[in-house]
Amino acid sequence: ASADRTQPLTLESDKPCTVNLARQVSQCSGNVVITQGTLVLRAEQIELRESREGHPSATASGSTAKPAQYRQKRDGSDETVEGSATRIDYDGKAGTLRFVGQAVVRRLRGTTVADEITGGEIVWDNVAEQISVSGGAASAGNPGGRVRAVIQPRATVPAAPQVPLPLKTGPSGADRP
Amino acid sequence: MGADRPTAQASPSTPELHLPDLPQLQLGGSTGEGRARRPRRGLREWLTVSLPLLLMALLALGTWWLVQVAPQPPAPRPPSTPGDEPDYRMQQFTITRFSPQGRQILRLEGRVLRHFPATDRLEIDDVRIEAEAPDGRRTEARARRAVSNGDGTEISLEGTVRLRSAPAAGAADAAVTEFEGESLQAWTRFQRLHSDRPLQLRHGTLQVRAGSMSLDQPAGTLTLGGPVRLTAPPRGTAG
Repeated sequence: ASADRTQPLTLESDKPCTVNLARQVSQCSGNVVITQGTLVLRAEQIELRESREGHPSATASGSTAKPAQYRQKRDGSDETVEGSATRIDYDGKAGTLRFVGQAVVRRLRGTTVADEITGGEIVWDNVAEQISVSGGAASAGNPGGRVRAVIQPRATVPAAPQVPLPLKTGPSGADRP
Repeated sequence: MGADRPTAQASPSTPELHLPDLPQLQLGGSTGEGRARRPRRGLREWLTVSLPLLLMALLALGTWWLVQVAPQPPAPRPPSTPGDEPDYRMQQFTITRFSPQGRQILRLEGRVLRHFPATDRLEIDDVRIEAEAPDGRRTEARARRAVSNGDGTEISLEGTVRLRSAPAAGAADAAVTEFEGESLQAWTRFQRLHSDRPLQLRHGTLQVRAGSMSLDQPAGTLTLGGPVRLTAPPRGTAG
């Protein structure tokens, strides 16, 4: 939810964190979890930075075996967006998340998956509630290097307001800036 | 520093040792002095200003309080006392020090102070320190025991260690910085701090819990041993 950014940010790690006082960067490794309101970011390693104005941003890195995980509730609905990738970049100022490497993003209503998108790189703008995806290089999970999106048909009696993810496909991942 | 013997005036209740005035020592950190800064809370503020400031205050305290405070024996006596026997001790003591303008800038209380000649080691039980830096920052430290080498370059505080550092009234960032743990070692010459026991650090509403902590000020690195739990307040809220 967009209100998450007004909530305290909590970082937990069971292994040491090192903080570079000059660059104001904290790096934690070993089951690191960042929560802020309904946002949950989980990964093997997380680097947490804070901009001059105090906006947190983070890079969560995992592996193909244990990708970084993201979850956050959507505004005004009981829906949740989940995602995973080998790397997730969270920009606290813009409120965007970039999933890079075997990227999967799902919209869930309760526990049922409404939409699922996979691609080389997916950017989820949590404030504008807009998603953009690019194929990126072919990979094990995505042999054709293509974007795959499974959009659920609208349920006959929508239990809650149905807001499918507004999908905007971008150019292939290779030539993105 | 051929300090003459501190004048000891035994007042009825607790003997207070009033020392001849000594050169002003810079107790607080130098960051942020005089530059009015917009108060900001959050990780960045803690990392760049408060944590080093609190730790520098402790390092500076360490350097001064032991070297100047401990009464030096009048002449180098042959070590008649065996290694682990103190050659002098002070009971229920309070040592205060005043700035040239007459402000109390240091108050050191302890139940017992012992000096061990063989290792030139000082021990103080139930120590309590209050110090005011030139910028008005007040730092308080207490512990069940403080141990230091002779020149105050290595100090350890053990047992219910509490540190609290509050800026002067009207300072740009009014947040209080606190350390709570069971042990804290300081190497003043290398500006390093270490705690091998679980600890808590607070600065305004920013909180850190860690299994251990090591600060290397010159290298600018702080290592927090797991498990680490850090809570940074939302941006721009009051501390």
